[in-house]
Amino acid sequence: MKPPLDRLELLQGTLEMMILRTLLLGPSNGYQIAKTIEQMSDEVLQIDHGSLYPALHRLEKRGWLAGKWSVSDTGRKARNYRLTAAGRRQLLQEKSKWERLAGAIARVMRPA
Amino acid sequence: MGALGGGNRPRHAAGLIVRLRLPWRSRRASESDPDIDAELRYHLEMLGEEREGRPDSGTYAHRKLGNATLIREEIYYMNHGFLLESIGQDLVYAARTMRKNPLFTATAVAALALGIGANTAIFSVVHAVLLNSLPYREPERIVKVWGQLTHDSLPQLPFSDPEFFDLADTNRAFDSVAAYYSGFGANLGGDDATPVRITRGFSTASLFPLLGVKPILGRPYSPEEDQPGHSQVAMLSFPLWRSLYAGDRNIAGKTIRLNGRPFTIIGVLPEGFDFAGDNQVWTPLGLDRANPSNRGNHNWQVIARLKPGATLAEAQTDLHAFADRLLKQFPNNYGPNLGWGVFAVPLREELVAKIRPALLILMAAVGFVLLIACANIANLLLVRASAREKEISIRTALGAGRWRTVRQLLTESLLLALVGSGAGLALGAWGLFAIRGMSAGILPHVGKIELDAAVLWFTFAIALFTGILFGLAPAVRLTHPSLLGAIQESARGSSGGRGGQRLRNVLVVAEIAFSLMLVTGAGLAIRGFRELLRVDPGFRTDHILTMRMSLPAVTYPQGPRVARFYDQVLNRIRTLPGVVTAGAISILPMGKSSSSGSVSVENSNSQSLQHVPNFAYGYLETDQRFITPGYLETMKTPLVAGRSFTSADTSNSPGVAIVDSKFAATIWPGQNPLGQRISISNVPNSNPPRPVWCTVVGVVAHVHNFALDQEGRVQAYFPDTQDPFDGSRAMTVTIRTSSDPESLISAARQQVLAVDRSEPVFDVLTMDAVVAGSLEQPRLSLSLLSLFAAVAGILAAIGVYGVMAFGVSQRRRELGIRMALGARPGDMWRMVIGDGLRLGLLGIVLGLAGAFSLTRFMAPLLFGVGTHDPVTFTIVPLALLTVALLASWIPALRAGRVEPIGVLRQE
Repeated sequence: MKPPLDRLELLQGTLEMMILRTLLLGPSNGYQIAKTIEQMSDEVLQIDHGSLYPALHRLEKRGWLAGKWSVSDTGRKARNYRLTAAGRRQLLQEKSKWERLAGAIARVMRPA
Repeated sequence: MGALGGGNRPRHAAGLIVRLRLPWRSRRASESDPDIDAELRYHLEMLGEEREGRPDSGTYAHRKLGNATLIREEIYYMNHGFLLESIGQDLVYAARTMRKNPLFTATAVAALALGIGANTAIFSVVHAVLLNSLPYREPERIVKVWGQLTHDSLPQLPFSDPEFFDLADTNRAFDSVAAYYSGFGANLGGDDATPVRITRGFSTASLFPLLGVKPILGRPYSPEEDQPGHSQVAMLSFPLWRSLYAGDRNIAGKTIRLNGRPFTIIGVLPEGFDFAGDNQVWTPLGLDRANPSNRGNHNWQVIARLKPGATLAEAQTDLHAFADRLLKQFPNNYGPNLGWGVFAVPLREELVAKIRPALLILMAAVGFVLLIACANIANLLLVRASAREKEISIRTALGAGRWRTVRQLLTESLLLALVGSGAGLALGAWGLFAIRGMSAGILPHVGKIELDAAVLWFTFAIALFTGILFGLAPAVRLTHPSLLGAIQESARGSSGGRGGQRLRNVLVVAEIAFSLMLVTGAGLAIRGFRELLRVDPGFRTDHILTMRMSLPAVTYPQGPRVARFYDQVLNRIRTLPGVVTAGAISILPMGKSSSSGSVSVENSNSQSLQHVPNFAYGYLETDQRFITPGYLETMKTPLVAGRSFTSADTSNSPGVAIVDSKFAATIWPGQNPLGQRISISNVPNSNPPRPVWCTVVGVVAHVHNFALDQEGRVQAYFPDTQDPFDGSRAMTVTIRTSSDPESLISAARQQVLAVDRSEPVFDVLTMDAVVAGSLEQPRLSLSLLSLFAAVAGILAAIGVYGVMAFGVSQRRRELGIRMALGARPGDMWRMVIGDGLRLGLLGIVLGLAGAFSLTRFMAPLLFGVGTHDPVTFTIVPLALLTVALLASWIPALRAGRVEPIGVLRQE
């Protein structure tokens, strides 16, 4: 699974943050989450679909997501995830951390 | 990224290790979870729809999602807890490590099995004998009551009839008291069958309610049946009921004949009831209140149950007052300066007091063996660990935490300990079987010694303890931070750095020290036992057959018929081919029974004599024995002066006596004992009492009547034909043979039956066996202690060898360079031996210090040898030093054979 050159590998741990972010828009299932992330990044970010589900279950275990079976738009049964209050707080924390980190990296890189 | 960032890591580190370790995968983890399956299926379908209609839509979807099984596994570990699963992995891995190193595993398991087996066996005994509660109601409230006349060397005196009634009537501390006497024999049955001898106990009716023991059939005897003339009822032991009556449930009311008299069977005692020994039948004591025996006839054992709320101390105070009352009331019997007293001992204490020191010493000994085994295994693990340093370093580098690695190593040592304890349990069960066989006469409740739940828990606890003990050192050592450089280090072939070597040396020194202590203990026991065997008992034990018989009063009333029976039996036996001499004695030395009686002396002012008012002569307590002519000759008890008894000493001839040299020296120091007169009875109805005098016609050597390690009382012998008390009704016939005494058993028995075909012969033993019986306990402790010491010595030798051999193999490079620089094989050899000796000496010095302070606890087990016996304390260290030397020998030779070229080329 060699990623195409114009697509970027995810930094470790950012996948979970982005999952939380996409769910801010409303409950969604695994496939839609992956697609949303890819679309929101203009197809630059390539989601490893294999690590998506472990990440979802891990977040659910921590109480940041709540999973529930429901019928999707296409009439299929899918497991929908919803952001919990704790998940919302966690997202805010992660987001501010991320912004500080991204800002710092940007300041370091700009002179080049 | 903190919390989120950390989330991904376990997948990589742990996942890698999981895959490395478990080629076959954990089945549980890959079992499908329908929810996750459905979720993944949905995802695949959606991916497939993206390329609807195109041929590669399926492969695209699968490629995009990746390995579904891996995803399932990862989620499984997350949800079901990583810990349990990973402990399973640790176990599997540990098992494989054990399989891969069969020699190491076998050595470690064998060492552990020895250590744990010994501990399991000895703990079972300790548990059953010292810790288990007695099988009676509230056993801790039952006490044994003793009288004492300390100034007469009688620290434990049974009760006489009047004393027992006084105690029962006037004590304030006890709910109830009971008197009993056990170990009597009875001739069973009668006319039709071969005569059988069974053991019989007598007790007051209060005994069974006091113990809280209820018959499984019928009832115990009532106080009414415990009256003289009404006491013809009997309770059977469970085994007798089973063997003689085939467990007949309608046994009550049937008749059993004991010593020719009919007894009505009223009950059967529960299985395993063994109070006061192995009595096959119990009958009422039937003490006569109206006509009690002499106050000085101390025959009855007494137990009592404390009143609710009463303490032992209160009981002692009450017994003290009781003794004072008796002293005031009967000054002739108890005073004034006889050291009279009455005291109580908790029943358990009474039963185990003699055996406890031996058991505790053995417990300590097996504890040492286990510690040595642990040190040994720790050493083996350390040696092996240095071979694994690389593996551990790689794991650490891959992200395994220190705790995780320690846990893995501990799992390995615990698994080893569990396997070892399984083997140990088997060994312990076998050892227990052996101990039970050897100790039937020594330990109380020997039948109840078994591997019960408590013992299993004990063994399990030991396994855990040892596993952690010998696993921790290598684990800590291996995960030590400085070890991170081990990869490069081991690449240069010089692993097992100084720190590891030091730890191994410490363990070896500890092993040597512990085994020195153990071997010293065993050495002292051996020396003491040799001293014991060297004691001259006053007779020769070889080539003597002994057999006991007891004439029933119904067919042999007191009088000349009794003596005539033995005379006839002995005369017939003397005619048998192979018989040198034969004789009989009322109580055989070192046999099961003993008894004493007072002897009055006509003419002596010895300080050892007691006096009572209204009686002109002093008296003293002696071992009083009735013998036939030929007895002293058969036993080869040396005649010091005068003559032995002959057939001319009859009931009509003048009274005669023989005393032992101790008697003569005590009573007539510096005088000729021959011709002096002593007495054991008074002329009937004489007032004031007039003794029946017996003239001393001979002096013989002192005999150890109880045991080799007990000097015993002064002794007086009288002809059985002149026995005034019916004391020679039961006699032991002794036969000196020219060949193997056991070959005469059936011929001699035939001669007894020829005189009276209803007379059973019992306790048929060679004199060697009788004496060996009195040595059973020291012999048992000695053999166990020696066995444990030998195991300890072997383990220590293995330990020294292992460390030296490993040291040499680790230092091959260094040795090779030394050789290349001109060192000779002899130098190498001296260097290695020197190292071994240094360790040995250090261990020996420490061990000596430990032994010196610990052996004093062995004092109760030792006879004729000090706890700091210089011989033992010289030989044992030398022996262990030799062991250390020999154990370094082979590694030293190997060091001398290192070829410098080969070693240097390996680099």
